[in-house]
Amino acid sequence: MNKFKSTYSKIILISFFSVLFIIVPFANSIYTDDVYPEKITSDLAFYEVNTCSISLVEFITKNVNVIFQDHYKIVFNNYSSIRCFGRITGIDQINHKFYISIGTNVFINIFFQSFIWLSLISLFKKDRLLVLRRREALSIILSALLFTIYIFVESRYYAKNIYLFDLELVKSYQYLFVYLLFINFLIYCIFEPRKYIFAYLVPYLFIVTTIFSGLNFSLLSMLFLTYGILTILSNRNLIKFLIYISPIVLIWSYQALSLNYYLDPDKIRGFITNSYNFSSVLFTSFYFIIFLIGALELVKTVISKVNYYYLSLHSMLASSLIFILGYLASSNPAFNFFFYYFFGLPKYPTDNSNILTSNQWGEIVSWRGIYPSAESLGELAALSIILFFLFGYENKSINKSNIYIYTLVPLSLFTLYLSNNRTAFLMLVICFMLKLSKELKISYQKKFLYLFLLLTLIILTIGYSNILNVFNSFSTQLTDFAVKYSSDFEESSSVKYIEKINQSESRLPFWVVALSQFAFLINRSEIWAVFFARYNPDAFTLLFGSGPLNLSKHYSEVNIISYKLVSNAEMGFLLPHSSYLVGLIYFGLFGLTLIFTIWSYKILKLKKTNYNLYIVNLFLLINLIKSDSLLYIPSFIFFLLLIMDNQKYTSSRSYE
Amino acid sequence: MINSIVSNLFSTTDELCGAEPSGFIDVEIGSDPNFIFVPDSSYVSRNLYDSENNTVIVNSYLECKHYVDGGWDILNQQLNESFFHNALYIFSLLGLLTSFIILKYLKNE
Repeated sequence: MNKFKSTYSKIILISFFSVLFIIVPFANSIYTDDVYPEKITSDLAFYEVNTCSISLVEFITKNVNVIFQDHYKIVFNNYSSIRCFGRITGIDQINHKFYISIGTNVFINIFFQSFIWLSLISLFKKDRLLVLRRREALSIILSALLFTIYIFVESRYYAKNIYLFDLELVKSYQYLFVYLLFINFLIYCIFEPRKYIFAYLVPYLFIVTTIFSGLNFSLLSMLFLTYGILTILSNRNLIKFLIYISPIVLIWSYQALSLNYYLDPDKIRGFITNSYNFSSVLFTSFYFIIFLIGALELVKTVISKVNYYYLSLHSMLASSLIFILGYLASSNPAFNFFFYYFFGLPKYPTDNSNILTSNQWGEIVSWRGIYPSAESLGELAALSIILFFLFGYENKSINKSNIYIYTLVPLSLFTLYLSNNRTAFLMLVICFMLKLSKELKISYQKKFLYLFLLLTLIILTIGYSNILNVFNSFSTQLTDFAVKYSSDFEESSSVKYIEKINQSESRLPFWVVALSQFAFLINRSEIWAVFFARYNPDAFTLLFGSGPLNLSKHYSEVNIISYKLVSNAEMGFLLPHSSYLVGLIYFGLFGLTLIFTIWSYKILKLKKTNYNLYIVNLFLLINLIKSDSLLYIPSFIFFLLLIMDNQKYTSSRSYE
Repeated sequence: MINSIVSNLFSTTDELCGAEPSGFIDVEIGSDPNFIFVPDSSYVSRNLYDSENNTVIVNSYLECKHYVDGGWDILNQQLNESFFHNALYIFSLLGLLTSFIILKYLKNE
């Protein structure tokens, strides 16, 4: 009875604070003035005159239809004064759609969003006592300092987002440092005693990404940086590593000397830098290394206690929630607005409520829900089902599990279907087959039958006519497209190379044809061609890359044609759609080969020690060929969690 | 109040006019109507406002200092924003201090 009472009071308390957090800031207004909201019509003169006077809550009480009619879109205006937070800063009408702009402020966002996310984390029980020695305090201070420098380095981006805050004054950075120090301190104090939950929180990062609105970093990156610095301070080998890696970082930075390229981060905000210049490359390279050290350290701390079966359930729940919340957000402007803000998403959730739309060729159009990438969402759904199958297979508790678990499987499968990630689906089937053939010790005849079924599935997925086309003119589609995408006056070194081999040899080299055929089969000819039309490395950049988290040079150095050749649509911000190509930009051929070799070696070792994780790693290794998931923090951390071999670390107990 | 506490921590002239140039000699201008301010080519011009939002562009540190001493300031909106920033600054400092004291107390417990 007492337990029931305490749960009941907890729910009331949480509901009360949730309402307080969600409603109150957006009710910020002067209620004693003479300005009262008006019904929204095509005559928007009232809202043009009375900017920053009416709160969102006031506005909605007069215009309830804005909540559920999809020809309204509520958007944020981060370049707004603190006083204007939560108030209407303007309404525009474009065709039949009304855009209602709500004032938000970057500094208030840092505090407000942090408080919400930290309140959620604080609901979990503490596992240990908080220890705050000098080393921890120093890490928190240094981490806050690094983020202050980060804002300085990216001041070109923040000039558009920060209202009346002079980023050329030292005093401004003093203010920023104190704000970030306070938030960082709270993050560490609240998270550290509960860090055991980290592994099971990772799938939910796909929902609550924790990227601050208007900023190019997240609460998660602040956490990782603090842990990264803490790990470095406690480990002399890591300090030596940083010293050894410095020459390459300096060369990366030197390459950017006197250049200043800029890239709007768009949907990859939070895990990319938007400037390419000496200071930005120097800073971001070290930032990435410390981030990685921090993330690896946290993963290492919790990995031994992870129960993968429970992780699979959390992952399936997360992917199902992305579908459910995405559907809500797509048809409801208010949900769309609040989900973006309170979940810290890099991009607004989709507003396409027709989840089963097809294009002119009858193919299903991918649907991304609240997540910025449909492809990565598909990966999460497929991975969660694979984990459930692999680890549920061995887990006896599956027999006791209730119906709720079995509803998650079809929901995750449906999410995978909506994402239209066919590679993930194919890999899901292959992973099932691998596990079954290992466990059931099936005969050769049955193996042959499996192989036949698999080949049929591959042919169906790729399309029979496409397979035949590989052997004709389509075999060079990648290189042909790359040349066509180039502007007449500006060619990348890759395109120059392609033209050179086209002219000098009667036959294209085998690897070029093989790459082109492979790209055609997996429907990447055009996207990778766009990549090569832009990819303009010199010898050093080809070998060692241009530094991590930086795509500005790639997107700004060489201009290509601005529309797609096949569909004639606007090019927009088209990512390379391959994590290996992103790796090539970041670390060059040498770095990419090194990472690939180490990972392949680890996978081969896993085959003997941990077959289930071997299958999962195989899925990742192949899927990343055609997906750029590593550009998104949630996918990056989730994959990191699955790459680590949990059996290497001693386990005391597992958390459910 | 918060505004004035924090403003006193930093020199307003420095805040509005930038750092004092090396070798700067302060000239007593008083209310001499014939005084001519010589523009400083190395100085980035700034806008200052009075209480009625009238604008003046200053082209040297001396000119800027003269106007700031005479009550010219930044825009009202900017003053508003500064007030909120000062409040956030104090809030963060107090928050840090309080959290630290609580942690110390809990440790001793």
